[in-house]
Amino acid sequence: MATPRSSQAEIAGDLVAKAQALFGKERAEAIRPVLLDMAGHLWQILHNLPHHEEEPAFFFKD
Amino acid sequence: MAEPFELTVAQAAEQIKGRALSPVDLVQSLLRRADLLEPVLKVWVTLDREGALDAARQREQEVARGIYRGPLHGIPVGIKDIFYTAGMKTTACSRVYADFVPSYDATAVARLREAGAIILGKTVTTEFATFDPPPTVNPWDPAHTPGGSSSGSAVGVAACMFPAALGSQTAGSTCRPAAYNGIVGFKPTYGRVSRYGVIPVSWSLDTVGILTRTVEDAAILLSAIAGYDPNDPSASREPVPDYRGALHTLTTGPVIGLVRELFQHADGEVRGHTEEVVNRLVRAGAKVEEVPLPHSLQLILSAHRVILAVECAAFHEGLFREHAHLYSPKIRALIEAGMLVPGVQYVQAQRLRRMVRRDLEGLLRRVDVLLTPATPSPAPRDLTTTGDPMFQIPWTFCGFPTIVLPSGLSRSGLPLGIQLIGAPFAEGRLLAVAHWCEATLAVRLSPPLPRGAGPRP
Repeated sequence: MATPRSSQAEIAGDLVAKAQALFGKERAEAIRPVLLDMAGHLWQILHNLPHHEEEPAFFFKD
Repeated sequence: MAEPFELTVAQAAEQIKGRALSPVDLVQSLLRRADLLEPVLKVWVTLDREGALDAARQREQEVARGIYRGPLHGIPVGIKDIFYTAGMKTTACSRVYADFVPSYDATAVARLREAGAIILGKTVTTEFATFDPPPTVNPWDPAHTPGGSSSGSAVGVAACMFPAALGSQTAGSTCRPAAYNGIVGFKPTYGRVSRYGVIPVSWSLDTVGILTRTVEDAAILLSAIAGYDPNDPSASREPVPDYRGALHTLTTGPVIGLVRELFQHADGEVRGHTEEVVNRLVRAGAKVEEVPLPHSLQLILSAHRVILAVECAAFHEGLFREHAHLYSPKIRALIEAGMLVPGVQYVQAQRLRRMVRRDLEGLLRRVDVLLTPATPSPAPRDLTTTGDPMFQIPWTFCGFPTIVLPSGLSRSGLPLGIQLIGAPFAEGRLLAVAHWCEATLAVRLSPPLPRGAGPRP
């Protein structure tokens, strides 16, 4: 489970392991670049979390 | 005198209303244009010749009886092939939906029909409106991408194969192809136009888009399709003003906020061109001020990508389990990556989104519109990509209305454009400023294509 202490490489490792379990090793390897890219996005979010009272946006009804 | 296929929506509407142009002649002119160009440009998934001619005859008879529905009466339009069209195939350019024929119209399509528009057919989208490149060709140079995902809609409008089209935008899918093809692309506020009956990429990001050759035409289409729809949980009850009437409401030069942070991500030619455009606007009376992005562009791009991937995976999950082999490589990888993102991270991205939106909305209280280059470069010479939507994503992420206008040509002869961003539900103001910029810049681009509509039968 990724946390704010996780490095980008650890997050990527998590995603690749989950991909291997769900889609098989061959497929996980095929999408590795996409998973590395996604790990970068998740790392960005983990390191820029909003104030704890901030609610999600979803359909912008506010 | 212009051939019928060359007319804008407003020009054709005036002639139809005055009985100087028959909707049947207009449709026939566009069908001949399609015969001439479709083999090269590959705009259409479905061209409904008989249905369009039938509808044109009905609109013609109505005019003869004194029934005129408004400025879309008898106007043919192209519809991106992710919008449901009753009785007409809606494939999303995917093998998964290859034989899907909806039993009802998307709300936006139904509203166009009610306004008198003629559905000419369904235009090419990238597969499920994501990232796999389309067969459609850029009419300015076939070696360059036409952009996507509303590829057929943008190219068809640029090539005068129809005067207006519907597209959609989840990242930059209306405004980016509009810029690459030298036309006007308009994305309303999220919730302004119903998404009902539009195959989703990402429910909380998807917005119906409009592609035309003028700002006035975009206002005409928006007036027809905007408004509350009980079938769309995100549709707003905000009243719909007279957008066409709003075009002339600017009494002084607008106040324009320059988002310089995005300028820095553009190539040198685009940056220089945008500075020249800004100088021209200032000389014509605009006031400009620098507006800093309150959050890093990278954070916005990251939160946007997580939301898009997870919602895309959620929509496709059932189909994907059965038909993964039918998906093209980029959307397949996107869905798979989306399936792996922890739910907590998705919600964090949505929380960031609310924070970013609130802060960006604050910027828009100081100015009439924000301005950025439309794209970081002209259409890339790379047919494996549809280009970079980075200049559209912050505003799509926040649900703000945006418009792209053509502003000139690059040294290599490809269209360049500017993008204006308005406050939520301030489409009238945004269109008024865009109309002012359009008149000030006086740039109308036409790709190097044969001028004819093809031989008459």
